Amino acid sequence: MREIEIKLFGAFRNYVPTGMITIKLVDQLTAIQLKQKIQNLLQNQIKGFQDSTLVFESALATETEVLDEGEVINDKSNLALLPPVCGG
Amino acid sequence: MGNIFVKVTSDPVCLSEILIFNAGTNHGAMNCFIGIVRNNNWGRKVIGMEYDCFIPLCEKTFFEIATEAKGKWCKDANIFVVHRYGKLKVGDTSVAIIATTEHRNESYCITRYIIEEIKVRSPIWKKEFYEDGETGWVRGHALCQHRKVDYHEHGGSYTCGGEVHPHETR
Repeated sequence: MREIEIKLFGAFRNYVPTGMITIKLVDQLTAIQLKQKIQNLLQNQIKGFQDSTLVFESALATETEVLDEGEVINDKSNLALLPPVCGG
Repeated sequence: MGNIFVKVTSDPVCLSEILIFNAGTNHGAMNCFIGIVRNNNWGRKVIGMEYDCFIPLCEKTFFEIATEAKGKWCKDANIFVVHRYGKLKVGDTSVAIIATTEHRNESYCITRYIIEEIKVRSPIWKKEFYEDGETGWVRGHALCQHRKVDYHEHGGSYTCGGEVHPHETR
């Protein structure tokens, strides 16, 4: 088993002010499977989190690239979950 | 072949400093887009804004977008992009984009392209603070559904960018 640290931004900070969660992984997962795990964690452990779409509208990314939904999370230990963006 | 300088910063953007950004000696045009915090959104009075940003990926997207713009319009362009994060007041500069080129048309096209692409591709989020004490994260564009805007696909006008999604308070 290993742990992945995931940074959270934007609207996620309403629920997780630290901007960081840790997910324990047993199996190898794709990005979309990891998002389901994140959704489960937030629903089960974060009081007041009832948003059923925000996680799935968000993209997993490293510091250099946005990951495709089917990409396998293998050697990546630090990720970010990026909700829909609105710079400018 | 022209320079690209990009930055995400919590420091105020000093326009007098960035406007002396060097043009090439063969450049006859400098175009500057400046985004500022306005006092309203979707009928609500806004008194301030907080920008959140994933800095390393954000600066990478700025560089990629600027490189694309040079490739489309002027390989020789000099481009400067700076975006704020943290808390801003109404009237503060949130983003500044400068392009210097040989002729004016390319500089207009480059700054327009860069701001429209930043809005849909760069990991930046903004939280509005309203007069009544409430706050809300501005609804944006999903990165996982992102497609690059092609200026020429739309006959030279953009259909993407701005607050095109309904505002939603989360």
